[in-house]
Amino acid sequence: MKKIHLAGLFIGFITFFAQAQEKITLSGYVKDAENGETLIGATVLIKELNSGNITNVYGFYSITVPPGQYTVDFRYVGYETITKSINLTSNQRVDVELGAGSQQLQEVVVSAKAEDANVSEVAMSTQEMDIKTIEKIPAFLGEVDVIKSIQLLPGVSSVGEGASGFNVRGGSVGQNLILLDEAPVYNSSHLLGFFSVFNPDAVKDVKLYKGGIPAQYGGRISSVLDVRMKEGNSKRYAVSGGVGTIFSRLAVEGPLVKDKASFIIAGRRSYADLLFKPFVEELRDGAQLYFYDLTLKTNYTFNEKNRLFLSGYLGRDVFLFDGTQGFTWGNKTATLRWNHLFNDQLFSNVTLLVSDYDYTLKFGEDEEDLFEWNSNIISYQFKPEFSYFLNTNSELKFGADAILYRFVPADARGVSVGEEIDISLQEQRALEASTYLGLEQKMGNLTIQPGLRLSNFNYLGGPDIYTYGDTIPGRKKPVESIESSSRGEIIESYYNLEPRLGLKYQLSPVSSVKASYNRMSQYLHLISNTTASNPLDLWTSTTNNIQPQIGHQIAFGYFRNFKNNAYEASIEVYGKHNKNQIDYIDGAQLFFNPELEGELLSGNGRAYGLELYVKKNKGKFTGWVSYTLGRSELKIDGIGDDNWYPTRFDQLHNLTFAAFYDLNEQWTLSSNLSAISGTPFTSPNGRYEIQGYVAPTVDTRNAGRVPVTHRLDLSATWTFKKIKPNGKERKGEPSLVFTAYNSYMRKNPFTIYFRQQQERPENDEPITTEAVQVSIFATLIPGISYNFKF
Amino acid sequence: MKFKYLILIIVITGLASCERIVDVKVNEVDPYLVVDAWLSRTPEDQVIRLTTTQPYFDNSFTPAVSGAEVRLTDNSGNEFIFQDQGDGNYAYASTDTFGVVGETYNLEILWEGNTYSSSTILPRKVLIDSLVYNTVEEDEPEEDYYAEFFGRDPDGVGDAYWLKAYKNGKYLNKPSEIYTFDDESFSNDSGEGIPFIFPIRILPNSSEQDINRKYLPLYRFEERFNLDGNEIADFYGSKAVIEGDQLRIVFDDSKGLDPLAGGIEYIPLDGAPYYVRYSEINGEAVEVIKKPDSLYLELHSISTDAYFFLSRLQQETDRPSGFGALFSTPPSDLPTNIVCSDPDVPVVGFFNISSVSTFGQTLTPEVARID
Repeated sequence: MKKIHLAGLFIGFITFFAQAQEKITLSGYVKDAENGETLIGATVLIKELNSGNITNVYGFYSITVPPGQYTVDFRYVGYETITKSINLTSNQRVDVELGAGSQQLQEVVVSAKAEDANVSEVAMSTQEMDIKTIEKIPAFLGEVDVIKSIQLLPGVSSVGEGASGFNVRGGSVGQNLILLDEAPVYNSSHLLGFFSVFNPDAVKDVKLYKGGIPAQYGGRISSVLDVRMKEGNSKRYAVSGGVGTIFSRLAVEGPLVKDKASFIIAGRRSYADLLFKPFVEELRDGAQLYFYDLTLKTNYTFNEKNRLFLSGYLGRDVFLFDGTQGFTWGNKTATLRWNHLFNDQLFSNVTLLVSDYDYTLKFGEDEEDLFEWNSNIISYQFKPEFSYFLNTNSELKFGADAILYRFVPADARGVSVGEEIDISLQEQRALEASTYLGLEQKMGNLTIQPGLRLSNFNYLGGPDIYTYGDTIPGRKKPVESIESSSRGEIIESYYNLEPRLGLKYQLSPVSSVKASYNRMSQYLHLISNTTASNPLDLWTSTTNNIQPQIGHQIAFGYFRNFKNNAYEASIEVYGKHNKNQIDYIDGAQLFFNPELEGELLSGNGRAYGLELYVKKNKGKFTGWVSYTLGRSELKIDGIGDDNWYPTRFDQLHNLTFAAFYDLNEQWTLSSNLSAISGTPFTSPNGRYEIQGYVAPTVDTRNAGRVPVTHRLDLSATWTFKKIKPNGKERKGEPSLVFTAYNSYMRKNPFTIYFRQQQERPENDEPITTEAVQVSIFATLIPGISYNFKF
Repeated sequence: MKFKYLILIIVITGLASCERIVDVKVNEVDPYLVVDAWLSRTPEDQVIRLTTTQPYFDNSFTPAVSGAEVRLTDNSGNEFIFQDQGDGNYAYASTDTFGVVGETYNLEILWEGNTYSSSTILPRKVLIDSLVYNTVEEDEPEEDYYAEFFGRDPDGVGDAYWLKAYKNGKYLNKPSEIYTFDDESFSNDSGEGIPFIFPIRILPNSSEQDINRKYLPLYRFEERFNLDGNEIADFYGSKAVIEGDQLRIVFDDSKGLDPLAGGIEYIPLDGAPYYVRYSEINGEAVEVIKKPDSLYLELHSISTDAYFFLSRLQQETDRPSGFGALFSTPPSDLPTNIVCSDPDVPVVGFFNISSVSTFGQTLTPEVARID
């Protein structure tokens, strides 16, 4: 209850502050004239004061200035700037629709919203990509992919080709907060990691926070990936889609009530199973292997002050061996948001959402003999947020967040010859609540962005409470006692204060230095001891035995733009220290284990690195170079003699070139080239024979390194001529995209593993042991897709 | 149909990935004692094997340890001395069925001035009730069968099993053929005894691939292959040639053979189960006959620690290949229940005594089911 009082206090304070002002507010929305989509991060600049603001994620801006006659620029890269002369005598609402600029300019949009945003904004360690850029990147099998695209940016990597998820500045996959229209997505992969769950047709904007994470975000210690969906064309009906190597896609959007309500519905389905059915016998026998996702969003503008959004996502991977047996998994999210303007300066958004990730495994053809296992995590969230635009120099953000979690690690039963046993594990419940306050204040050349978040986590009663003895290296912790608990009781409660700070000092109009600090806490833990994350990985709660993860990060950066913002460059260094990082005892049993907590080890993590980034934004030739020098290590009691050891995704060097070239009206060429240090593997230091098998004795964790990986991906987009040979106009803006992934067929090592011979051992011969290098994609993988838009 | 999924997984994991054997430099450590002590409650001689560790890529027989004193005692005051055979084996010649269920046994080994010790409890015996064969394809009763065994896990938590399978008399000894399970299903046992659940009942169906990654049959009735000279035109889809006492399967080289596929190229024609029938008139080879397949199971009741050891042994020896490498766990040392008197002296290995029940069955129409 304390927090609610606190929030009330903030609101009171703000209202008082607002009344004390004797200034006038200019506010409104900035939208795309073409389709009515609000523009995120558009600049509204008051020329006389050389100051202004940018639109928030809902396209809203608010500027409070003394009364007067002003010239106001509305700018957004790739759009024609609109300049308005406004006589401000009383609060004014000005909604602006920006038209796309010349075709040429639009084609070269890379990502920055305001042309000099990387220098002028206080935010550092953030990367924004709009969907147009993502669409240009040569993609695996020609399928445009949000998560594979951000892996080309500095500080972002993965454990290897084909691995699901991503690692940010030496953090693990489970330390990224992935939001789809505010809803957390617990598993971001289709097909075990080859594709991500986001349908590019429905994505509007992608923003990744690697550091300097603002106070409104919390819950994961490494990064925030904020994916915003399109609202749907409010001007006219539009259909877009494509036929690709893996997916077919279709998106329909349009107005429901002109300028008041619009919708978008976008779906994808893979059809490899349909395509291969004639060739693969198992598929004809009823085996199924496919995945699909459906994204839906609609919004309604009640009046100038109220707007409602409803968005939903449903994705599923289906992998059935025959009609009923097999494995399926997927995410479901639903988000309801209400934008409300209390007045021209106080913008609010209230979000109500539910997010569910589940998987199901089923064997057995009838009720007499089966094994069935469901697992899921469900979260219900309520999140009121407020932005208060005090004046052109200050903006205050505050809000609260309450999340109720339900964890179902195993709802499972086995039936054998008609007799049934229940092998379910107990459910866990937890309540996470937080409140935050953040300020952005400009003071001449200096901008400061202090913030504070207070988070609280309650592990709720219901399941049995285990207590464990101390860690004995190499053994699971012994259970000391098991007590029952009752619903409603709080078993354990944690509070964490999370200070955040961002600083920017403008050295000149084209250069600035920035610094940031953040402390983050994470109460959910992704339990996974496999090399790459997989759909069976469990999310588990912080409990009386598992402590919340705490992350600290400090970062410094220098930002410089050249040639009228045609080039932008940055250099950043970061250092991270994390507490209560989880690792596992040797051979940990992670499933169906009521004593799972006894198999987890805890320790510290650290990561540090340097990121260089140079990007060319304008002209026919665009692209970027990104280089990361980094280290990521763990020190866990009970592993590797308690010394620091590299994480499985530790990469010293990571160099990426992405280049796009507009050859002519028909052809656009794209390429990306990457060279990355080898990731670690663990080697044996001896072998012995037992019961006719040869077992390894194992050396220090992750002491070996696979060779360097490098790869060139190419793609070419051919847009059909606008005028057909017969002189008529071509409809549908069709284009063909050709891609060649791994174009020089490099067999990039994913890992090296050790095994005993594959052949059946014979009594009179010694057993041989060998090292095997695995390449996930050992050859060129071509892709072709056809896209259209009506 | 139940069996299909295993095959589909392999089809999918074999898509685009590539593996090759590489030379890697690994560290070496001084050798130390390995105790391989798996005894069973049978009338047979009990053997404990002592060896030492060796460098990982030393692909010779592991060095035998001789000159150790090996002694077993139980809590009832009995003592069993294991005699050094000179080849690393230490044997105790049992005159009767060895061991008593529920008894605690203590192992003591004296070697190079250190005492290595361990103890275990002999678990109860659990029976296999029956063994049947089911058709893989519903509509093809003449084709492949897979084996399914039935048994019942007794009431109470903590029964663990190691199922050793012998197909046509040959012990299935690949790492992928370490069949272990805990109670009737998985380790979160309810304590209620019910029949072993479905995926466990079909464990002993090792599908062997030839080097074209084509699957050889699981279990079949008697089959006869006509000979043309010394060739079989259609031996499960390939050509096969008799060479001496072996049948060599001839593969189409154009398919690009993968030396890592781990297939079999030669099949012995020694009567188990393949043999050649010769003409009574001129003594020429007439046909190759495959006798009906048989399966013999030994169900070893083992300690929970031994179950954990064997699951880990399988994890470390049967590493996921290809795309599977994405989801492998880091290699780590196996547990051991052997303790050295000097805590700084390393030792590996395991001590267990199992109760054993057996069941054997040849594929005959009586035990074949159309599934």
